[in-house]
Amino acid sequence: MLFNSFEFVLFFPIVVIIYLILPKRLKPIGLLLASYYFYMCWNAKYIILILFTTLITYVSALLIEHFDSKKNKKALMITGITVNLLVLFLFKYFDFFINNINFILAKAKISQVNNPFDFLLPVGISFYTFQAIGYVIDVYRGETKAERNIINYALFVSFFPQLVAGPIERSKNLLSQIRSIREKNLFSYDSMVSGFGLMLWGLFLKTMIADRAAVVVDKVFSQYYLYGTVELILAALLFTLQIYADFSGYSAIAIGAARVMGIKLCTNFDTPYFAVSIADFWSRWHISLSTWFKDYVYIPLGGNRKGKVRKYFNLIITFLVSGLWHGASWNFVAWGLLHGFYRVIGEVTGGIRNKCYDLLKVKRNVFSFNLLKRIITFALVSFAWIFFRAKSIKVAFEYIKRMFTHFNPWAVFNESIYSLGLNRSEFSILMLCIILLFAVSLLNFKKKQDVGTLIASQNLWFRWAVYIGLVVIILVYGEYGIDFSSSKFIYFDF
Amino acid sequence: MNNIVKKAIAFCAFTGLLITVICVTYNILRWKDTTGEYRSSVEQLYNTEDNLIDVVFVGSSHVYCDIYPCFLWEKAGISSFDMSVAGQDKVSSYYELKELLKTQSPKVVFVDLYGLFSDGNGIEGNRYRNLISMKPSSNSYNHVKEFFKEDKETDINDYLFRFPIVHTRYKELTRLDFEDYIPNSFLRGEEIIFTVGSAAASPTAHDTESSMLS
Repeated sequence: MLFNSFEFVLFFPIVVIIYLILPKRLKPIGLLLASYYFYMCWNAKYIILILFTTLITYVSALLIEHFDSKKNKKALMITGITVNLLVLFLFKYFDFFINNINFILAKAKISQVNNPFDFLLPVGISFYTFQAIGYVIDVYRGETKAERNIINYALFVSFFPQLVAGPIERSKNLLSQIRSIREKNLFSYDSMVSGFGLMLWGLFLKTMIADRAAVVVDKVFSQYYLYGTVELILAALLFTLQIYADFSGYSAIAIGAARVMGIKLCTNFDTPYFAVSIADFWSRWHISLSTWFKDYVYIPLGGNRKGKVRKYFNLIITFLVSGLWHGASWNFVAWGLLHGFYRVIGEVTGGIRNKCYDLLKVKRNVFSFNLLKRIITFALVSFAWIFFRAKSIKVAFEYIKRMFTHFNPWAVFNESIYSLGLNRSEFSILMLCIILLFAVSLLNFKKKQDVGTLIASQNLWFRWAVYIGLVVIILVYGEYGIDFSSSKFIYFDF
Repeated sequence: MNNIVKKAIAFCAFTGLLITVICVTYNILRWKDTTGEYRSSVEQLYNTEDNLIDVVFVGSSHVYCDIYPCFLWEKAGISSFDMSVAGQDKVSSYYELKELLKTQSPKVVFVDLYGLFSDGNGIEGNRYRNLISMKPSSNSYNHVKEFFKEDKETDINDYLFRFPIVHTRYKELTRLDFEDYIPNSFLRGEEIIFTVGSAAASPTAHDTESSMLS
């Protein structure tokens, strides 16, 4: 069940009404059943994997808390993590692994292994696995208490708004709220209004920007060899916006849906394209994943505590794993590594750059300085997305090579961009939506509030006008329905 | 308590307003037979006075191409109606007749048997003509459910909610989509008459947009 489907439009209000009507002690069970139903709408048998992950991590955490010996605790933690990672490996990385083994065997002229693991990738497996692993580590570190109530814990792993594409929640935040459902009424009218607004904004991002931009992006990336610099740069920039609108749109719907029920999920995006550096970008993009990697990979590797060289190495490793997390393909690894190198180069050249600024008397506390930093960061991030979107590393390099060698500035003036899948009026709608996104992001950036809260703080006439306006715009101009296939949220596959 | 009542009223008012706006939007965008100059049989049925029809002809384009209700009226004084939709299949014949029987009490119903052997000629547009031109009701819901009973691939929600199909009509809206026009009552069934042996339609003079609005 997709968030931008009519099934969800029916499912969600029914769940909210039942959730509100149910007595407090039954609310978690109601939400758990709704979450399992939500997941089973994709593929019913994969619920077994969630149940398995839930059970393994639930028992691991209880045992970790039960034993006093540090050695036993550590062994249990490692067992819990390993078992979960094995499941993830089997479903997500096994074929990739075998393919690479075969590639090496073929080079060495040795007979190949021929046993592909022919199963569909379970939706959201990377998200709930990481969430469950994070919980086990938190219990091991003593940062959270092991949950004894299996219903509470199962709901923590499978809470439907964030089950398939995050935010990847921490037990300190989500589990503690789930525990309190039985004790106090989390629901409030104001949070419902704010959550509803956020959900609408998420749908706007998905249907008006992401799916519309996808039309051009899909066409150009699949036939990049037909196009020149202008179309290739346009498609790369549109993909930069598409993936943001798609993923932040999903997160907005997830956070909004939870908020309607009175549950606060963590912020996942904080105007990432306004970042002034790559480090800043990663503190604003997919925050729940970035902090997960920081807390459970980068810091355990030694972080910045073991010298500069080790810090750079840790950064590279963390970004490499992050790339691999996004997909079992070398182009995702390349994308992760590229960001790792951006970070290392940024760190290494920091001192030199500052000296240059002093030497050239560049003013650093002015708008133009920060604007240039933002533009450069945006360009670097957009460039890296080419590796993310391309089918393979080879295609990515060919795409980039063509982008720099097939210079065709006339394409800007001869209207050929309107033959990339969106005609003039469709293109205009996309541009208007991007301008609106920019304006709203500027507001988010200045006010430090999300769209739902911003709208909810306005007077009634304005709120109603925005809500109704958004519904009508999405219903009429949104990219959905018959003959439209790219309506899956991009991050579901990770 | 006062606060709760206020919020409940605001919630109801907002929901009512939202539903109204969605209905108005749907009415503008809803499927209309634009290739038939906005004159579908279903549209004409909804604009026909109750209990006016004595004889009904149900079926596919064979009906509206070959049966001329005006002739029956002029020659025999029989008020008849072509409940015909292009590519009408047997399921659609049944439910479209049921729709007619909501407001009419015909004495005789003729059914074009071509629908028994036809699946709407496999033309996508004919599916829309038959499945989403009726007003939303339990009848139209059952129509869609029955039509796709064997089809596991089609997402019937598209046909039940209709917006996924009709929303892209924003690209082709005309004045007729915004104004509540009355389809010309004298054009029923007599507009396109195929002559024997002729492959091409030879339409009589079509009404202009302005005359339909009059």
